[in-house]
Amino acid sequence: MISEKISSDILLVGQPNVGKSVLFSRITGIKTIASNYSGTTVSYSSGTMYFGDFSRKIIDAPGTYSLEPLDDAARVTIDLIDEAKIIVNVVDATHLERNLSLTMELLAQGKPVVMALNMSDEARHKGIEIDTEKLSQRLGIPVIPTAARTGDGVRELIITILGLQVKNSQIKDDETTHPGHHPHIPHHERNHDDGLIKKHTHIEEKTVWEKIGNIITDVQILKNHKHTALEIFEDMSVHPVLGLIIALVVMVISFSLIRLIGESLISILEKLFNGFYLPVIYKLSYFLQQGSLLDRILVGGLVEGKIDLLQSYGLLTSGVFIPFGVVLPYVFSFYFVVSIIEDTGYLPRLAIFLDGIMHRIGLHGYAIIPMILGFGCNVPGILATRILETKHQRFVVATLISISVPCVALQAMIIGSVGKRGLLPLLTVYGILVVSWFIIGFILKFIAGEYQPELLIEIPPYRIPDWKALFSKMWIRSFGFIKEALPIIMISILCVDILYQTEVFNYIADITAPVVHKLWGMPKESIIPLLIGILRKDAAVAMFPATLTTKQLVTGCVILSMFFPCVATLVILVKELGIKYALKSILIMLVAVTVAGVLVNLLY
Amino acid sequence: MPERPLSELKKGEKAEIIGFDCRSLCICKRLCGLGLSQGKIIRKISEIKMGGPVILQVDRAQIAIGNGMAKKIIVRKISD
Repeated sequence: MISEKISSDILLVGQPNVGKSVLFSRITGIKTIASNYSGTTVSYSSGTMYFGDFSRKIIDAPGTYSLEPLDDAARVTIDLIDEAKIIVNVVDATHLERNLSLTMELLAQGKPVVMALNMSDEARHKGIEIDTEKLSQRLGIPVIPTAARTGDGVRELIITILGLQVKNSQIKDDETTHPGHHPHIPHHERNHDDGLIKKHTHIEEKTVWEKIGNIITDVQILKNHKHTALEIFEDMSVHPVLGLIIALVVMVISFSLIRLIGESLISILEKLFNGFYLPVIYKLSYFLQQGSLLDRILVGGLVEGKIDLLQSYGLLTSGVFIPFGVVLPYVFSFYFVVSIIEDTGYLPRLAIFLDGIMHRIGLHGYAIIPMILGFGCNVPGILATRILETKHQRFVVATLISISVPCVALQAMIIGSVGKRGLLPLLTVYGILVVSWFIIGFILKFIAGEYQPELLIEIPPYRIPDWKALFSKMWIRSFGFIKEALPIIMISILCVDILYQTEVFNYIADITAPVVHKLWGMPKESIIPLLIGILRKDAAVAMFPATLTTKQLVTGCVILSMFFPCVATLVILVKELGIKYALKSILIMLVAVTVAGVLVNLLY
Repeated sequence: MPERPLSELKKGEKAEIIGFDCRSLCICKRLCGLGLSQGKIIRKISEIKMGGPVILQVDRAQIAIGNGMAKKIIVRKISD
């Protein structure tokens, strides 16, 4: 009987930041991105659980506080529950009472439920004792204490799930037997027809909380415990004055650290490239006969009589050096620092201090999280806007990200090229982007009118990052960058080659000259890097000739940052906002970039 | 003790949640999801300047509530 494979769906459901994704990774071996704040999983991931002869499809649902279809996360979860056979309710043992409200809703769905009482190690540390057997009796479902971060209890959880499934399928064969997985839910709250929960009235609501309160007093003992150093630091971080100082220090340290690691890696890589790679390229160029078609495609042109790994613009020079020599070091250092901030749980605290400022542009503090992720790559940044409640907020944040937040790849190139002209030009580029961010934000708030979203978040406890998980997350993100960026950088370079070969570029340059040359003060040939920017912005910066004046370079970088989002961002904008909002977003961008280009040209 | 909005509670004071002055069921549900139900005892641990949020201790969790929303949560102060 057991050897017979029952193909079935297991669904992990729980409130935000209870560790569903970590548990999912433990069960399936699939690496997912998990952080210490709510809303890291914005859509669901699915995988397969292998255990002996069994294999099961298992889905990690986005975190949701309730099954009321109030936001996207809840709606996605409700749909997933309809399709699932077994529900694993992942619960944060340190906040059992609050988590039980979702549990009650899940029990009312009439599907078999197993509770994974996660973070049970942390609960013990905090002096919270939970009688799992009693809890299991009160709820009428199996309760398995787990600690997903260490893997404790995961095996027991899997065995319980499989056992339940076998039992359940037997029961289903025999229609006369009542499933009986939820003996403590009064009959009127269940709906056997379609598994949908009835809309709660206010009275039912109160009885649910009373019931939860009774269960809690029965199964949970809170012991007094001493404040740990981390908890003292937690209190300091939300203190009106101390917390602000901490926020500033964290930001300054983060920026410096990203810069320091990035630059150090680049200087090492530059030596390696120049010492070992460049001689090989020279030999290759000689072998291919300098100036032949193949040489021009693979090695590219000469810059001041030499092969320049960055600017020669061949597949094997710029095509390799831009992603590996310039951008990857910054991708690596950015995600290293951001992952630490994510995993310690600092981001929501930063959000608290930025709430006041964000209100000025019609958003609330939590909107800073997608923005910060957007500095890595706009695509995950725009995806992360799903943690915001309303479509309007998501539109504003996605627009601001795609216009005023340069991704780390672009920044690496800007720091490399503009940074050579001095600190002031570099700060000018960033300054203009910050100003544009505020101005666009103000205008969008003005258009939106009275509406004012409010911050409502849980501040997670501080945690020491699990270094193995952190490096695995960094690996996913860095590898993701190479996988996504490398082909498009190569395509960009080929496109440029074709443009130059066919002389189409002269034609384009002439048409666009009035804007590019007259309004922005750039040489008319600059339209090519600006157009290439639609494919990859990092590859575009390398095309700005060294002959540009500092002013032209600053203008060029500002325009490139604000101009058409790269293909990947454009696709995700349309996907996330829908075509109508994406077009609105692009319209705002076109106006903003034209105005910014003119202003820089006139004022700088 | 008189009832008042959460925003007027002083730092460090304890209070019981009496009700929510909000028209939208949506917000009430979100508050409940975070454990802020009627009758719950909370403690205000901080308030960020410049229209920033109010920080509450609810059981063992810390919750940040935007200033505007904090005005709509009615509480009754209780002394330790």
